[in-house]
Amino acid sequence: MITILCVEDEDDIRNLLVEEISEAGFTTLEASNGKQALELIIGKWPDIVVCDITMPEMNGHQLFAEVQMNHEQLANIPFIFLTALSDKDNMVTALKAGAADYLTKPVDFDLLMAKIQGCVARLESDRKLGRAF
Amino acid sequence: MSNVYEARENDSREDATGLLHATIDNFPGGICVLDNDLTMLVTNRKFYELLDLSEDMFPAGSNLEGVFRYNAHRGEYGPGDPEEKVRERLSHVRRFEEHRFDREVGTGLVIEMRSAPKPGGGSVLTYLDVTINRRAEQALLRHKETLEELVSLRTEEIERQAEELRRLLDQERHINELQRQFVTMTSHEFRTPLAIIDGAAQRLQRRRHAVTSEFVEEKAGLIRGAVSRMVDLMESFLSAGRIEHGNMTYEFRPCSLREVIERCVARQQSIAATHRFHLELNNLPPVVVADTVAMEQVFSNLISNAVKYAPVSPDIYITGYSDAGSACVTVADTGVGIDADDLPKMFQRYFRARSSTGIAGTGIGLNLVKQIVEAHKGNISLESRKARGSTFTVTLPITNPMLTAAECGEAKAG
Repeated sequence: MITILCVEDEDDIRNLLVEEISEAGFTTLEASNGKQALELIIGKWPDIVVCDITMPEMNGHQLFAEVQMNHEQLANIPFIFLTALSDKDNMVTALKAGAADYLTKPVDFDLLMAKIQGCVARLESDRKLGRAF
Repeated sequence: MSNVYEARENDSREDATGLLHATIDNFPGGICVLDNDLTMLVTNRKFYELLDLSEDMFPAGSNLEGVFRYNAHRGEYGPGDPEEKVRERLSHVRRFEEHRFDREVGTGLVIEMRSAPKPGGGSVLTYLDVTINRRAEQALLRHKETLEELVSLRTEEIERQAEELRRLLDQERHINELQRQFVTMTSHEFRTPLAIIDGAAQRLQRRRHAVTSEFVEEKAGLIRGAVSRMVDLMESFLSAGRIEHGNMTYEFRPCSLREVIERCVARQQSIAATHRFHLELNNLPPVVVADTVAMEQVFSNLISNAVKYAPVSPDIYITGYSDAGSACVTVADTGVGIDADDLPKMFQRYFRARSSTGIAGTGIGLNLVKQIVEAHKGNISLESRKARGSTFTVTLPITNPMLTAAECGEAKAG
C-alpha cells in the first residue's frame, strides 16, 4: 500500500487533495505546515510527499532541505511541490534541490494523479531492483 | 658681472663721475652703497623716493643708522621700542651678507630690499618697487584660495548629490523589490481560491455518477467561499487603487460597529474553524458615523490577519469600548508577532514583516486599513512582540467631525 503525505496549510485545498488521492486508492497522511510534515515523514515514512510551499512555521523549501540534509535515509522520498507560487525563482529552487516535480495551483487532478502514478512506478521498479528502502 | 666700456685715455675723470651719477640716478630702483661703518657713500633719487626720505636730512655721506632711527620713530618697523628696532637692524646690516626681503613701507608701497657685499667691505643695497607684482601675487593667491574654496564647495555639493542619488536608487530598488514580491504574492493570493474552486469543480465532475446532495452541497459551499474570498481580494485592490488616486468616496451614515465586527467574525469562523473568537463588545457605543462597507474592510482585514498570523494560537480577542468621544476596538492575537524594527513600517504599502515568512499576503491590507481609518478622522495603533502576538487598536470618533449639517451623505476623501 502506497502512503502519500499531503502538506498544505489551506484546509479546503488539503481536504480536496486528500479526497482525490484516497479515492484513487492511496493511504493519506495530512500536515498543515512543514513542522508537522517533518514529524510525519520521520515517524511514518510516507512513500510520496505532495507539498505546498507557502506555509507558516516551516515552508516547503525548508522542509525539503531539512529532509535532504539531515535525514539521509528519507532523502529519496519523492516530493511533488504543489503551490500557488508560479514564478520561475521558486520553481528553479525546488527543482534544483531535487524535487520530483513542481505543479502550480490550480492543478488539473488528472495531471497530479499522473505525476503520482509516475512516482509510484519508479518506486516499484526501484524496489524490484532493491535500490531503495 | 658688469660690463663697463673702457674710458678713452683723453676722457677726464669728471666725465667718468658724471657718467656714473647719470647711470645711478636713472636706475629704476633705489641704490645705497655703504662702507663698512654704514656711511652711505652713494645714494640715488629713487632711494629717497621709494623710502619716502628727504635727501636733505640724509644726504650721501650720512650714516644709515640715522635712517633706521628716523624710520623706527615714525613707526615704519611696527610697534615696539624704536631703539630696539634700530639695534636689530644695525646688527643685521653689519653682517654685510647677501640677503633679500620685502617690506611694505608707510606709503603703502611694497619694496623688495636686497643687500650684496661690496668688494673691500660694506655693501650695496638696492630697492625695487614690487608693489604691482606683490599685489598681483596676492590677488592670484586670493583667487586660488577662492577657487579652492569653490572647488571644495562644489565637491561637497556633488558628494551630497551623489549620496542623495544613492539613497534614491536604494529606495527605488527597495520599491521594485516590494513590487516584485507584491506581484508574486498577488498571483499566489488569487491562485489559492482558484485552486479551491477548480479542485471542487473537478471533484464534482469525477463523482458525477455517484454524487450525493451532501457532496454537492459541500463542494458548492467551498466554491462560494472561495469566490467570496476572491471578491474580498478584488475589493481590497480596488479600494487601494481608489485611495491611491484620491477618488475613494465614503458614505458617512450611522453604523453599528458591533454588527460589522460580528459579521466579519462569522465569516472568519466559517473559514478558520479551529480559531476561537472572544468578543467583548458591550461597551461599544451603539452607532458611530462611518461608512459601513469601509468599516467591514477595516475589521475583516484586522480579524483575518489575526487568524492568519496566529496559525497555531487559536485565541483571538476582540474588545470594544468608548473613550472620550471615541469608539475603540482592539483586535489581539497571540501569534507570530512582529520584530521591533519592523513595527514602524507595518502600515507602509507592500511592506511585509519578516515574521510573515511562509504566510501568504500582499502587503496592502494594513495600509488600506490605516487609510480608511484616517479618512474617518480616527487612528490605528499597533503593539506587538515577536512570537508573543500583536494587538491593533482602532479609534474612531463617534460623531464624525467631517460631517456638519448633513448627518448623512457622501464625503470625498482627499
